[in-house]
Amino acid sequence: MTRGLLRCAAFLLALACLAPATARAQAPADATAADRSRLWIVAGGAATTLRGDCQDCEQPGPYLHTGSLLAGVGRRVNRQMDAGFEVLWVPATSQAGSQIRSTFIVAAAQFRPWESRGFFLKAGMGMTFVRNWIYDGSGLNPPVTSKALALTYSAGWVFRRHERVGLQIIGSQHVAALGDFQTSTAPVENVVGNFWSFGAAVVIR
Amino acid sequence: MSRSRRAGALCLALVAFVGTGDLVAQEATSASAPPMTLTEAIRAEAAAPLIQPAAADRCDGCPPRRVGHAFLQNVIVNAFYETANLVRGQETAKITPKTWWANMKQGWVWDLDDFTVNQIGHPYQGNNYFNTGRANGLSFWESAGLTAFGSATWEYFGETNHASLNDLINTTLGGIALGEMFHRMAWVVRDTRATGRGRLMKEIAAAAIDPVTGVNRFLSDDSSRVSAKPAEMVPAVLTGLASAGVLWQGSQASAFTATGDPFLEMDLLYGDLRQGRSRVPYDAFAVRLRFGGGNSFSEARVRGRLLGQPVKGERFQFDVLQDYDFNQNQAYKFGAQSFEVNAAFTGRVSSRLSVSLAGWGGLTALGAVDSLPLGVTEPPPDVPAEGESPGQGVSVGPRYYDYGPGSIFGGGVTVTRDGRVFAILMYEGHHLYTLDGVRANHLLRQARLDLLAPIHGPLGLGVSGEYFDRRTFYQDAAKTEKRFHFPQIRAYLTWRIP
Repeated sequence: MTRGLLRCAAFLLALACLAPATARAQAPADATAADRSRLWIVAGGAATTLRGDCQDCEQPGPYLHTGSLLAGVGRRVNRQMDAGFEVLWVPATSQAGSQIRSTFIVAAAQFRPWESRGFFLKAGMGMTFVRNWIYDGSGLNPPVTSKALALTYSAGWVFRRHERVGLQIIGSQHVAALGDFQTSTAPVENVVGNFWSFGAAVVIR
Repeated sequence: MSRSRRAGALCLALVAFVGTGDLVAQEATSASAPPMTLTEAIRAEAAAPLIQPAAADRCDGCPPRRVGHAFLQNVIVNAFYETANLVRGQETAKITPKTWWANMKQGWVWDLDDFTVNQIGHPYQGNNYFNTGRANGLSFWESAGLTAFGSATWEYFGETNHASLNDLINTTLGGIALGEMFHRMAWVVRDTRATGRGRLMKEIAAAAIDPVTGVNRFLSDDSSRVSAKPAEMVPAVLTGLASAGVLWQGSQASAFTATGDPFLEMDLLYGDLRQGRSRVPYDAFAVRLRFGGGNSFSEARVRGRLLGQPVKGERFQFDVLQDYDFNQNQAYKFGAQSFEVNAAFTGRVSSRLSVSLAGWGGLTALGAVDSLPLGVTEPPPDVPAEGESPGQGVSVGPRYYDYGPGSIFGGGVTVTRDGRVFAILMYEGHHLYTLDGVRANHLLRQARLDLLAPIHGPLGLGVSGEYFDRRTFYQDAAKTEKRFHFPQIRAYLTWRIP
């Protein structure tokens, strides 16, 4: 992991450690305009580590580290549940030099076990579109697009929950189950890609 | 209830949990009362005045809302399964922090376990996670989230083998479908206004159906407290049909076997899927279970309503349903977790005759179907070398079934005479696109005609014809296509409930 990403992770971890104190300081009860709004939008970035593997592979692929963009839109179902859609875009370069762009589009549900705190759990399911520009030694070939079954779950903390604009930190895992994946040498069957992300996002209500 | 009696009751509940608990039909509460149908009895029970009101809960009879308890019991369910696997001697149960870390570093994979373990065992396990939420006053949707939590923690920390993606989906979605169905059926069995031995036996039977809620009720003394039933746990109607008889299977050449196989089939309709505006998940659902007929357990099917909306009065009905499927027959072995939209029309042909038409279509989040690679005609026996077996239900591969998403579609006609169904024609298809396994598309179709005639009272006679068809489109260079099909017929006696 690069030094920049490490710093980013350390900063976000420090924010997370401050979370309980922040939550206690929040004003109780009185519903603000943001509380009454049922729509929310999330946009942010994350540090992502990904790795591909398959049943017949002798060894799993190497871990690749990169940045990613996260966006979401949803609606509050009740005081503890939200439902919506989430997009994660992950550009990466394989060790062989191929460029891989993975886009997760999932329907997600978010649950806050404790109403008065910012902690949330989220899970979703949908599709992943993987575009793969294979490097053949001389240059990049036209992209091959694979569709995959996508699954995600995450946990995080929202700060400034009662304001129009808040901040959330989030740790998530996304899984892309591809049927086939084209590499520079041959197509590989039954590939599963795991994406671990840790990042922050702005929440607008 | 004294401590010893409570402990005894708890033991009985646990024994019932590990045993096979039968659904106990609701008894009429008074010998002198006029006979009531099961639905009427449940409604009367819910509407009757309380003998001993309790003000502590959100509603009398509802479990108190305890989120922390729900998470704790979710972990206890995992500990229970882990201990059971250890006792059974499974290698995969020998977990350590090292195996946890290895699983977390690896991420999700497809597993190679037995079909039945993955398609029945895991959904059943998920039902217990789900009911740690329901038993502690959480809503359906909150309990659904808790099911995913339980499944994910089990996959990472409950076994030494890598976290399985197919298990996560089957446990979560199957667990939700089976969990809410079992939870509601257990409430049908409970008689919360009764006292004494009859009450205890019903609580034990309910605990066998929904163990987590049952154990909670014994621990909190709710099992003996007189209260109302939670209103949302009382179905608008409850009907069922039990069928027992003989089944003759055909072959690829359509010749029927000379000797038949006995079978037992149970259909249950909780609520009315064909009418009503509904925003309460599973206020109506249909369940079918079939035992025997060539396999010890050949079919399980749950259709639970998530949303319902009538259109133009009561004649048209749109429902969004969650589906759980498990089907073993000569043409295919299939299991799936799906969501569908169902459109139905009900009309009267005459004063005595009415017809319902229904059509449905939807998406399969994950399905499993048996398959063979090209060139293989029979799967070899799964016999690992001595000392290499990791234990029951866990296979080291290869796996002879495929996983993937897909679609579901179908239609049906039901003809009713004097309020009693006498003919059902149904067609249903499933398509699966393989993501893990043999590179192929699978198309599975089933047509079925049931003819039913009353004999006396609830007793009746029925005959059924079924036709199964399966096509596998291999994605090889030659675009190979394989087809399997077979018919089967059945003759049986039926017992109508109520």
